[in-house]
Amino acid sequence: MAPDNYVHSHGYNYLYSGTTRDYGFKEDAGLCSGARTVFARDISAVRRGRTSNLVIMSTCYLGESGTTMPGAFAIAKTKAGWGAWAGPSFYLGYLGEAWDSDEYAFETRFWSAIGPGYGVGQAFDIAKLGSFNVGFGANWYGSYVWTGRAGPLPSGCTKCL
Amino acid sequence: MRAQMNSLARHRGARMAAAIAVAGTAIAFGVPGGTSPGDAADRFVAGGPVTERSPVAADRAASALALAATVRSRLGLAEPTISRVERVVDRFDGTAYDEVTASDRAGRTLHLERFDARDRLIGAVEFGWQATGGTRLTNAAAAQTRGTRLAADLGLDPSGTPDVRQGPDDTGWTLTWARVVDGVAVMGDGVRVDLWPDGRMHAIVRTERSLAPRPSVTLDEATARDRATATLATMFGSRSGQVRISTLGLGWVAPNNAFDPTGPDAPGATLHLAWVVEARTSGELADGLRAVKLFLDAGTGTLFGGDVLR
Repeated sequence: MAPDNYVHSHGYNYLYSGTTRDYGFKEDAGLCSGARTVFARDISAVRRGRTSNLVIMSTCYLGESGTTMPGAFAIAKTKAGWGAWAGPSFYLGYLGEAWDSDEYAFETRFWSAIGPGYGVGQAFDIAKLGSFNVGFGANWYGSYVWTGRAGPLPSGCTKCL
Repeated sequence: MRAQMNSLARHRGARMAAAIAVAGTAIAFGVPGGTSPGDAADRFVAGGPVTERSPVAADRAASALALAATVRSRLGLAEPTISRVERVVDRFDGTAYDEVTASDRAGRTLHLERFDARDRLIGAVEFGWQATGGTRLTNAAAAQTRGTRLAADLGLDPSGTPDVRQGPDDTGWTLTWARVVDGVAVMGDGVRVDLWPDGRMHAIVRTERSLAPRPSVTLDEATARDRATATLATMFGSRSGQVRISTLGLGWVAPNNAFDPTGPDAPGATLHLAWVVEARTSGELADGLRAVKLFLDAGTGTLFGGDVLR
């Protein structure tokens, strides 16, 4: 399994045009300044509703409750726990300003935990059991029980582990 | 998945360094005084396992199960059908603990508890997602009261006033008691309690890493500031005018490879006293980089780690 989409960059709720804002991240083209902003709405326009399985936004702010980034990958901003199913999808993002060391530690534990017996939601919970700066926070949307294996699964599955 | 993670982790250090426009001048990196050779032994290597698990002896298993039963009772967690006890070596943090994993009849993992060599609870989590439950905590004060009582009941010895934050989408509360030793913050250490919206425990972590001896002489603040200014000038070259020191203070920190991709893939297990310098960016530089943090050895001023905020 590999993440469908992994971004490690500068993220924020940027000014899109006029007074309109949208969540996005800076394109990493080896530029330290002047990098293009990739907005959630731009991704939506290109993907046109095609669903992603696993999206990890290793940036600041894109895990906030107001984030529009999950929708760009057709992942609903719902948390489907045990006995529920939001499709084979999982979105991971961080709250506010998140230091690289915290993102690295969290993701290292997250990847390590996924495997037999543990789906993405449990891996998320295990990843939290680490040492972080005060104020660090992560958030998720999607299906808690999904295994993390890429590919379509039948909708309505409530026992998928 | 593993191949992908290998790549991600291996390149992370390089990306952290590359994010900063490092000028041509080399930056001196150092190993803080008092670092033991064992610090680097058996440490996590990107792409390798974070944890190593092994069975425990029967008497130790019985002890861990008894401890877990006590915690379970105090937290009101579900009774398991099956409990598994394992010795876990955490190569990322350089720690070891006994972990009790509780499962139901269907084999679904319900919760886990971790205990250190002194039988202290150092981690617990109740799995699943529980947006609903009992009466919700009404505000931060109620969350603080509940979390403080819960931490005390579990013998977590929290001290001081916790940082209290509400989770996104009204998903609960996080309380953090930072560890402070002789008035100096131990960064990343302390007690953290995550509560479900109704105040039940979601997760608990207690981190208390070892500290190296203090240096015999500590640089004064003015000298530390001068060292930091010089280091930032070297890092950012012609753009150092877009970087300004925002905070500077002593802290216990783990050495890391934030600015040295050739360093170990995990932070050091022993924390060292450092001048922790945070510098915020402005102008064009802030487009891709919000801040950097420097860890300067409190005794020598040598850079031995830091952090990046994109």
